[in-house]
Amino acid sequence: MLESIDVTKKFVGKTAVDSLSMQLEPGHIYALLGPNGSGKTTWMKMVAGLIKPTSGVIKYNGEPINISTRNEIAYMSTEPFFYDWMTVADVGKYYQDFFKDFSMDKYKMLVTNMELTDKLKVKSLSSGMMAKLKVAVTMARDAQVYMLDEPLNGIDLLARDSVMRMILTTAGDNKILIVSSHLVEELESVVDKAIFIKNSVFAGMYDVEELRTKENCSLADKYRQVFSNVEMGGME
Amino acid sequence: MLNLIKYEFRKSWFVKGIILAITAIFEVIFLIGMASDNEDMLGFGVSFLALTAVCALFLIGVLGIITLHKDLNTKQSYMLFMTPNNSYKILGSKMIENAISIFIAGLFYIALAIADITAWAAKSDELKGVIELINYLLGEDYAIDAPSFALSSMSFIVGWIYVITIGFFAVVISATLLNGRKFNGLISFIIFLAIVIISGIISDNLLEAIVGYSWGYSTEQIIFNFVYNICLSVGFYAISAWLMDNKLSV
Repeated sequence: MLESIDVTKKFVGKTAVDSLSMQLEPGHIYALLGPNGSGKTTWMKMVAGLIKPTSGVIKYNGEPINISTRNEIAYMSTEPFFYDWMTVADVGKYYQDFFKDFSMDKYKMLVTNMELTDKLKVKSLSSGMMAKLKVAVTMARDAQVYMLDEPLNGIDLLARDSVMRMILTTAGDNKILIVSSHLVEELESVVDKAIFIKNSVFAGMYDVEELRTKENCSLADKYRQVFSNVEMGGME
Repeated sequence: MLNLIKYEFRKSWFVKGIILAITAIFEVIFLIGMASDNEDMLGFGVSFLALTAVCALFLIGVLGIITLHKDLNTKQSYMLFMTPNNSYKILGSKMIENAISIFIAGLFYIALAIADITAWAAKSDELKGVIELINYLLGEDYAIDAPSFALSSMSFIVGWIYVITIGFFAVVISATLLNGRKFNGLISFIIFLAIVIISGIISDNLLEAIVGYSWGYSTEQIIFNFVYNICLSVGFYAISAWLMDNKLSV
């Protein structure tokens, strides 16, 4: 179980995440939703151990996030982060060198499916190809928690389908998948829970199926309902 | 940690390759000048080989600082801090890579200098004259045929590694305690200068208290500086790694 307990992150002049508390259970795929600057990426980076919370604690299986939890948590940043000198093959080798749960065979299969070749230089990749590479190398790990920050950004429709298939294939009873995206309609078909973050604050967690059956609304409808005033720059 | 060190070497091999290529060019000029008795080429080769040696040690050290800065302040930081390695290993691998690179480069240029001097002297049959000339230029305590030459060179290399460690510390301060604040680069540079100057003053005072003087090149002084710089390097490494582990957000 992944727990965020009263987590706050303040940067100079800005509170990115404000007293965020929630619990995420294995066996679910979560959509992490909120407008730009709402704190989604900052929260994910705190879970990945890249950012230290100003206050509060994030626990995985009862243990505060630390160096060893990085063995179980796979994070895909929305920004490109590979070294410029790397090729597609080097990226796989790097992950193999550092993550015991990384499968080179799976990586090669995913890379081939994404129509990337081993010798392609990372710095020469288009944004779409880079997005595919990031997803492939992250999903080639057999982690317990996957966090994909905007995995659908910049990739074409067919590649989006591939990413969605990968997410569904990876999901399992003992795994937590967290996906942030602005493409709410596309996420709706794969996620079963949705977390809303509004102005750095937790704004609710919803079961997508319950939204449909009990409230008779889609995830996109709920998104509009929660964030409509925010997206107008705070104007009602 | 071996994997971390391996990738640290990989990050810097391109610049090192360029340094090696430049060295090879001046070496060829030197050898052609020697073979053809062309004093202009010989002088040019010797001068620029010496300059390249000094610049190489300087560049390799500075390159380590630039790489650390990039690894803490750009998105490439994720490549290090997503992996299950603590900051002691991450920073340690950078220091080991930098120290080994400076050490090997130092040994390489010393060996090249000895080989060139020997070849030159053998050809012109003036080995004794050349060495006497160099000894005269370097001074008695830094003579190339004296054991103190090796010790002095080692002490110089350790001293340079210490300066690089302070550079690492300044970069870490900038990325942790001063992160997001105005003029953090300038402040960390001032911290770097202040530490180097203050530690130099402390070193001089300690040396004066222990051996009675702080100038010149005596064996006692070289050994003192050697130990002093190693102790401070280890201390600043530990503080930097602790700051990274506890205060760094990338």
